[in-house]
Amino acid sequence: MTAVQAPAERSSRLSRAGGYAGLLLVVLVVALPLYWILISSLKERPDIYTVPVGWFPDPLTVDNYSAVGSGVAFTDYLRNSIIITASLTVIQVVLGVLSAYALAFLRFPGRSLVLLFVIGSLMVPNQITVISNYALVAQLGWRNTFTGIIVPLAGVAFGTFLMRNHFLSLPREIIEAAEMDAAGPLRMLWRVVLPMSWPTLIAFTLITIVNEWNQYLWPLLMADDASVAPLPVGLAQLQDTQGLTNWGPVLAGTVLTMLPILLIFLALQRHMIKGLTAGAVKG
Amino acid sequence: MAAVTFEGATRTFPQSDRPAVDALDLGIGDGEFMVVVGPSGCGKSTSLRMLAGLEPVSSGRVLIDGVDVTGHRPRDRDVAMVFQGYALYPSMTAGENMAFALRNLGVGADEIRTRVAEAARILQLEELLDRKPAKLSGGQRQRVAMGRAIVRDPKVFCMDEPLSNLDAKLRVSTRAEIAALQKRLGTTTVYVTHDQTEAMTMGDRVVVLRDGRLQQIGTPAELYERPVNTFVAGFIGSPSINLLDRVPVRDGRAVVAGSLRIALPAAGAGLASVTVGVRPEGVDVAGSDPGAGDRLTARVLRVERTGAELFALVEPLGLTDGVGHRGDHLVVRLDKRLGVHEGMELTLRVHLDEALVFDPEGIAVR
Ligand SMILES: Nc1ncnc2c1ncn2[C@@H]1O[C@H](COP(=O)(O)OP(=O)(O)OP(=O)(O)O)[C@@H](O)[C@H]1O
Ligand SMILES: [Mg+2]
Repeated sequence: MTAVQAPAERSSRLSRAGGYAGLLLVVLVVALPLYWILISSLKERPDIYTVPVGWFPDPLTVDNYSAVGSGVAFTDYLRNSIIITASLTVIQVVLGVLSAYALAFLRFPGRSLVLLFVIGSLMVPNQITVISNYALVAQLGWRNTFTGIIVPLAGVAFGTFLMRNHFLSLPREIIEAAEMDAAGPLRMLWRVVLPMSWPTLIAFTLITIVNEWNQYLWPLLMADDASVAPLPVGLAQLQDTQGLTNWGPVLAGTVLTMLPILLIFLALQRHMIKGLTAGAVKG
Repeated sequence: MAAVTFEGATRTFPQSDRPAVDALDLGIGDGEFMVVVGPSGCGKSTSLRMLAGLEPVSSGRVLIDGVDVTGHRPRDRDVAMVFQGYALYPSMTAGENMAFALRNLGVGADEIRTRVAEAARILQLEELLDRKPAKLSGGQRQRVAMGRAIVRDPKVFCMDEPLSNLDAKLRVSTRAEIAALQKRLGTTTVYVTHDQTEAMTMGDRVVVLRDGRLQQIGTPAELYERPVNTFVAGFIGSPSINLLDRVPVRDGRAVVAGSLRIALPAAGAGLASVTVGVRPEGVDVAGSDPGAGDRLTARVLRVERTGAELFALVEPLGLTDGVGHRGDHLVVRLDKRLGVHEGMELTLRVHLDEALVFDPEGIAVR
């Protein structure tokens, strides 16, 4: 090969290099704190504070991890987190899919009004509804219960909106074919629409799981103790009991909190591939 | 099996001031193969979808077997549709695609198996029943889509340009297969296409639409030989008919040129000028005799050979003053053995009995 390059080729190579540089920068910004949390959780207490910074834990220790368990009722928090996240995910995915289906495919009076309402509720920040929600839930006697934590968080505006838009992007002909084939609404959803929607549905599920797993403000207001509080509240508790100087166990708790989500993400992300409508329609 | 009737069926889309289909009156006999043709956007699909129940009817009625189905859901009409893009369910195998409707209708498993097997045999899909659509070729998908319609044994088949995604060769063979299949099943069929060849070769009768309005219904031969207006004349036949406008009428004859005079039918008595249509295949090269008012001289501008046929694009000479032709030339089909070449001057013989006469508005004079 000769070394001569067309100018276009050189500039495309340059821009590619620029792209990678940008990518690298973003990865550093995201990954560095995570790496820092991980190594610090494996360090001995004095090593966390030494300057210059040590990039590898030396000596390596898992003491912080055992300290997590002894400091707070970690397994209780974990159980609560799982209960809250699982319930909310199931509720939100089911409600989101059903409402999106209705908004995308069923003709009923006031449909666009409902949609407008859903989109409108997306624009109201949570913080605004917290106070009125709190008053209502307290009045119902739901404080410090799972019901009190879960019910107010079970709204699904985002999921409805996401799934509806996806449903509308499906080939119209296939939906009509199913209509002609006498498929009822549930069968249409289950056998025709959802099989073409897994990637979007999985993305929606994943976002919901991450979101609910990380819920902090509302459970903090609702829960009084480890009987219903989820992990993020527990972590804050851990920080309190350890005092402001002992970061090791807190960071170890953080790692343990992230781990389940990371595993779920890794398990689900390979299903988020496109191309499920291949061969369905042509032209 | 059933007869289908459109009674003033109209569809006006929201935010549209003009109906996409305007007061369509159309009767389709039991077991008939009716082809709907017309240029793009003329309302063919909309008409078909009104029959299938996929498009609401703004005014008028649609009847199947004498029953007014205008307000019925698609599933209650017992109509099967073959879509242009096939619309197969991507997550189901070919067999499941075909069985889906039967399952929804609560047909027993044994019955479903028998009917799918039978349809697969007819369409030669037996080996492919376990494949998903993504692993089928275009022609195979088309057959699965057909299979999905025929397993239901519906009253009416609706087909919306089912061949337009196939390559030219496959289209010709599939065309014949569909027509034969329909004859064999005897199911009333409404078939939409923009391809006039498909219309002519497949249909028992053909209906021509233009801008949402019905132009003519008739057998392919009727449409070809006796089009009601210049639009139908121009749409049916390939290459298109040659139209000569503003031909003056003298002594009951349209005088295209001194040597070409076409007798007007009685209905054309009072007309001062007419439009004359001459099909490319309604013309021969003349012998040396003087002819009987059926001669036209022309210069060859270009010669197009398709192998089997020869078309000469010619410029007519000696036209009567004021006569104009649409397009920059006339097209004539000539004997390919004649050795016609560019620049040549020809004397053509026009078959007077095949020439068509239209009034200045374009309506046929008969
Ligand atoms: N959903 C719609 N909303 C508004 N106008 C529409 C809609 N669908 C079709 N039309 C209009 O109605 C007219 C007829 O459309 P239709 O699809 O029936 O045409 P067609 O004859 O099937 O054309 P083609 O050969 O291109 O498929 C067109 O002018 C089109 O623009
Ligand atoms: Mg169409």
